[in-house]
Amino acid sequence: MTRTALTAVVLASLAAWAGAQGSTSAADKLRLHRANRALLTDLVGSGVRLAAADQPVTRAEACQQTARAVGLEVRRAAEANDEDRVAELGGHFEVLVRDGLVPALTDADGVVPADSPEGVRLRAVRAGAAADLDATAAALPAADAALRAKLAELRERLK
Amino acid sequence: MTCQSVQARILALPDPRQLPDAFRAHVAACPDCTAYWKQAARLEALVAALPVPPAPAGKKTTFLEDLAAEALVFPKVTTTPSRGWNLPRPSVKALAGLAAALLVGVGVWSATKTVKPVAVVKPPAPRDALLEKVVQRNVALAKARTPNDRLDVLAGLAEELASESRGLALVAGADDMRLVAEWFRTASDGVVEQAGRVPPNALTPDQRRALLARLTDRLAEAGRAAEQAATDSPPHAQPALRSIADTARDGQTKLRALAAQQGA
Repeated sequence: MTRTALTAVVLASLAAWAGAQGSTSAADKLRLHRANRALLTDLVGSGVRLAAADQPVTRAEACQQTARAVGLEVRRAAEANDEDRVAELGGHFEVLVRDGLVPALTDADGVVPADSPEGVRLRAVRAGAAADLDATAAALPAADAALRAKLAELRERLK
Repeated sequence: MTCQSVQARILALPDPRQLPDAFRAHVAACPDCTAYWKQAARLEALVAALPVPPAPAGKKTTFLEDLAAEALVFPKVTTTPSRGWNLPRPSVKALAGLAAALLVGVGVWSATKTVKPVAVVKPPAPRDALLEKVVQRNVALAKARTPNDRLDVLAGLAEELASESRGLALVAGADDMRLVAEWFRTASDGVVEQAGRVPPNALTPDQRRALLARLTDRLAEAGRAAEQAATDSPPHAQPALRSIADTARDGQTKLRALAAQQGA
């Protein structure tokens, strides 16, 4: 009797826990796959370019292209008033800039002379990234103040 | 001296109409006790007027003591004046009744109270797990310092794409599946191409051998899983899964050739 009751309680708890995880249904999975197919095509290609980027400047350029692709999708989602998508993609955009692009630029700064041709390319990457951050932050809805603040902080780190 | 004890003594008097001096002052000053005394005196007068034989002496006292013993009327009053407050002690039945009434009251209140509108919490929107993984792979590739690390991350991306194809096979259309197969081909070809571009001095021969063997095994496993999934999937998903298996086999062949070419 006790064992049965305990088993029922454990199963109910597990079911509640699983339900709280926001699991994605098959329909949601397919819908998201179709919504992100162009972006995923870009990001798979970006991954291959990043794997091939064995120089600091080319890595920074590849990072900026990757982040730009996601930033563009954030802006499209914002224009469509798709708040959930803005939040999801905005988070990815932030991660790519914070953990990918900014460190890549920092690494490149340490080894690339500012007045060299690579230095010029690096400045172009920095300027392009700043423009992407500005455009994405400007497109965010008013409710996304937290994300806008994070992007503003990243913008400062690009200087 | 309390009103209760005064009124009990009035009731116990042989003739309430003759008020003793001991509590005359209290009755004179207390409207309640005055009213009680007047009622008792009137009752005594009415009883005396009844056409019945007079009660034996002491009968009333005995009767009141019996009632008091059974707690039906005021408790027996002693002649010693009490000090301080004499609060009545409620009986167990009274307490139980009070508790029951309280419970009923709480129940009625709960049932009839105005229900406040509950704030509806919006459930978290579903997120694209594959997109998240691919973003993380891109970040990892940006951080990877060595060709070895980059190839491992890229092979992991290929594995995730192959896994996605198996997960989508039951719900996605042929076009969706074809696209995932193309992504896998992009990643797999990238693995083979980058494996061939690893600088000669970047790895020792043992490291190179281990790297190529690892990459070959990972592609082989992805291909086997896709081939297996093809046998259990709807017909429209099978070509894409078999395409993934073919791509993986092609990659293995090229990696083995590379290993042979480089003496690894």
